Amino acid sequence: MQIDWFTVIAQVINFLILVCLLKRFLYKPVLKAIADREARINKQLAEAAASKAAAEGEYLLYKERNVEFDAEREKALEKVAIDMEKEKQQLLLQAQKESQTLRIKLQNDLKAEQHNILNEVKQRIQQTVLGIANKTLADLGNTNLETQIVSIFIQRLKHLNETEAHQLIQAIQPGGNLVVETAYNLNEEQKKQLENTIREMTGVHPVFQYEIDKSLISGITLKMKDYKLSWNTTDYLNDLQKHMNFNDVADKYWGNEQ
Amino acid sequence: MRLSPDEKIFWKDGFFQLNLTIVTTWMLMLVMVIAAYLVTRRLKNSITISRWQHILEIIVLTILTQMEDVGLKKPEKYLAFVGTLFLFIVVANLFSIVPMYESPTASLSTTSALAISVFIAVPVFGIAEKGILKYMKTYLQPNFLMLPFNIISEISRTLALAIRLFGNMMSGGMIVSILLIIAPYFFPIIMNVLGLLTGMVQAYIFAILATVYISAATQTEEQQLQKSQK
Repeated sequence: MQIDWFTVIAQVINFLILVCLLKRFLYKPVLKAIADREARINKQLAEAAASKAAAEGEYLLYKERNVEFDAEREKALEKVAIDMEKEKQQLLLQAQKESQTLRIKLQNDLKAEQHNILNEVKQRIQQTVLGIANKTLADLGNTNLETQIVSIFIQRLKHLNETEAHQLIQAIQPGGNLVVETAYNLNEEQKKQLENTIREMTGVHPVFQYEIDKSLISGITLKMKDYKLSWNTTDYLNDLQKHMNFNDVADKYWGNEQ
Repeated sequence: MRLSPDEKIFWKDGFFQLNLTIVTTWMLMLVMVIAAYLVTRRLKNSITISRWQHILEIIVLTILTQMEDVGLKKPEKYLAFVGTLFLFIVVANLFSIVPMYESPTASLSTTSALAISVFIAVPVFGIAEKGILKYMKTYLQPNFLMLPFNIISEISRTLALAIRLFGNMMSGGMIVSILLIIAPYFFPIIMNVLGLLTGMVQAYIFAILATVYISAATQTEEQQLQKSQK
């Protein structure tokens, strides 16, 4: 057992070479890899922390925005509900008004129609009654309604009470226009009878002016200035109308829609 | 019976010779460098790495941690020297499981070479760290009377390093050889396992002692003060 100095030197050199080789192929790369990895991990951690912070920031921002959005939505919904209610009320009111207007118009139309029909019925009845009366009179006594009307009018004139007679005398001026309104043309005889009767009663000679008024149907009216004296069958027909109560008949046929 | 692999000489020319120790050392160097190259040529710095890279990183980081634990500041500077000491002795002893293998560390020449490397490296590192004057002053601590004792201490510890490793390694080999004669079937295997353990422990002791010496030589006055305060 002895030391071989050549071997010692050789081993020292071998060892130093090994140190250099391992430094080149082992320690340096491994330490570099570790350092790089640490740096990379640190960088990733820093990035992750930054991302987390950013995400938290974003989260808070969106949370806040969500709250604001919810509040705005609630507000908008409330406003919409109020607007809708207002609109509804307005529409209802408008509909009610329109309905009211329509109803009134309908009622008015109905009344007008009813009135027209009643008038027509009335006129037809008048014409029919007068026709019947005229025919009956002709059959019975060889006379007609017009002649009878003139006769009755003359009779009534003659039997006026004092006040009426006085009023007539006062009203008729000599040479003044006395308007005689009838629903038909009087013949000359009838005119002569009427004129003679008035002359006899009043003692004056007015100018007789004959006019036709179909609305009278049957009857005679004397007019001078403000004075008016008339006799016609309209009053009888009004009585008939009252007696028959046309309104009830109308209600029965058209129904009471009021 | 051959006590040292130095005695098996393949070629000799005067002072120069090629013996088993040198050849085995070359072989070990080749294996270590190739292994290191194969693993480190594809190192990755991503989160997931290969298991060989893991092993290398564990080895390197463990050596660094141990050096730091001993008290060495900036262990990366001395990693190549101390780490190679440790790895060379470990690998040299690990190969003893291969039949007919004779560890170069069982040669007093190799252990002396390693001890001499430490003997030279310690003052080199010390001077590099502190400067020549400050380093030389450490031989005069606590006073100049201690100079011879400090020098003796330097030499004796180097001798101790060399002899300790050689003794342990050589004895392991010797025991296996002797037991082979007495009980050739079972005991040599157990002794071989024990020898492996001893080899690991010796590698650790050698590396740690080298670290302690380097640490002592490179320690500045401030660090010494901090240490004494602790």
